[in-house]
Amino acid sequence: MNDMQQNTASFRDPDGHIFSINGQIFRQVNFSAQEDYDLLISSGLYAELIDSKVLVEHEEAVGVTGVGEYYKIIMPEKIPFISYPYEWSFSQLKQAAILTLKLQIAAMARGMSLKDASAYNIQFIGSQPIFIDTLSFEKYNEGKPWIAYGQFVRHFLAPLALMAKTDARLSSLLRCFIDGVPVDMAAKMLPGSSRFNMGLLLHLFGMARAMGGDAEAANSRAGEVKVSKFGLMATLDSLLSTVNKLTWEPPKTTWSDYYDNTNYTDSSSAHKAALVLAYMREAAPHTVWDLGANTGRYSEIGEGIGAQVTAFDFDVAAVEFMYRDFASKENRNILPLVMDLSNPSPALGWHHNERASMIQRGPADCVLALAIIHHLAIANNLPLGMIADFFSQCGKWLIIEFVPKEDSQIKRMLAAREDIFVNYTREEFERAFGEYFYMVHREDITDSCRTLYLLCKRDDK
Amino acid sequence: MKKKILTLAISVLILSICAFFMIQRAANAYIDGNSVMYLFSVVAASICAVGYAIKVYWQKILEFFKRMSGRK
Repeated sequence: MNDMQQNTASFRDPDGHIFSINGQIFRQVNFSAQEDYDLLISSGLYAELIDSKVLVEHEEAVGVTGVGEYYKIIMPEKIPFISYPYEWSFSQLKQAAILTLKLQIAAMARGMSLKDASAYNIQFIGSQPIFIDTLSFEKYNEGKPWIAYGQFVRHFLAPLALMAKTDARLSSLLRCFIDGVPVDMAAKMLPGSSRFNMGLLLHLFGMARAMGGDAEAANSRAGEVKVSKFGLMATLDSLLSTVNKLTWEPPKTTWSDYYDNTNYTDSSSAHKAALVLAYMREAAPHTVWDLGANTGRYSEIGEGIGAQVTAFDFDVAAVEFMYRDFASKENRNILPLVMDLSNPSPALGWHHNERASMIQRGPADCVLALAIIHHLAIANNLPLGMIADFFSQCGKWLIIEFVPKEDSQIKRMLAAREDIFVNYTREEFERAFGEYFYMVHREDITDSCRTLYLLCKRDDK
Repeated sequence: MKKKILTLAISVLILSICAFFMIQRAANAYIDGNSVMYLFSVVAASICAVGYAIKVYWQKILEFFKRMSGRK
């Protein structure tokens, strides 16, 4: 049965759009993009980028019907999990920025150019960034400035500068400003010392100042001016150098060195890992969401049994450490992301449909929720029934660790506040989760008061 | 003397450019920024081209001397 679904984020580009049929992704190439698409292939650019694994590979689809009149339908490789820039750590956004610039430099060497520089055109397969918009490449016309320059600054340079020089949590601004951080706002938020960075001075503060210029005069002159290829390469080289020089050294937070400060002994830690592995093997998932992944120790167990893992944590430093670690191993199976479970990514953009919420991008086959229940129930005052409901929407299988009030972590949490959590008991936990899941296994973790459960979602939920 | 005048001229130019960018001007969000952006990218390319030319030629000079020292 032909169950065509239009991708709700793919409507701005008149040259084509994305749709899916029974879960398979297709991209329609309209006649307006025929020349550019053919040049992408005939120039050798496509083959070069595929060889270096930086552009999503596609096949030309046969027997698939698109919408209206079109040139071709192509079938791109499926990305395991679609993520958004406001969910990336500093290094992820930086790698995405560098890839965008390198693609533009490679495109120019073959007579092409990127017509946009949206951060949403980059996705991650594990820790490896990849460009997904095959129709972004157009023929380069000598003299024409890089039309995507302003977008690059808004989507990459401004948030990276803010993260590096003001606060790494400011990546969340990208959640408010779907077309990138306004440069005038970034200029106001950056410390004065940023003006001594020549790249930021020119590309960010200069642009912010120019934006306050005379638009009438600019309109009348915009068609007359030209930029040489040398000038354009110089701009790209300067942007690349500016991005490369932006660095952020994450502080050691409670979460980033969590495993060094837990009350687990070596034997309880080993027992927990063995149980997670055994439960995971029983669930045999293709996709795993590790909620509260911290440094990704247990995500690696999911990877070990062949699953694609998305490792969420709300702490930007923990995610940064996790990404650096996996990127150094060129890991292609674990994607670390910043996600606050008490306020997960919502549906955003036009008609609430351009960017999917966290839940809309699931469900996963299996959810790992290790040592997180007390943070949701006690630190965030979330009732156990609501947590169980949320987890049941995240995935079919649930490996969850219950942390009782006798645990030293909870004692610390309650040391300075009144214990109003009378329902936070093992019995109430099992009752609340029992409404959404049936219990497959339950085992106490050696040398600890914690218990690990393997739950499976009820068919009627 | 010529070297001093050249150094002075370059310093004045750099200071002028820095002063232009250092002083923040309020942006009017309602104006169409595209044309301004278009013109600004031309200005930025011109400024970058100076530095890029120096970088490219400096690399060529270094390569020349490397080749020279390699022959010896």
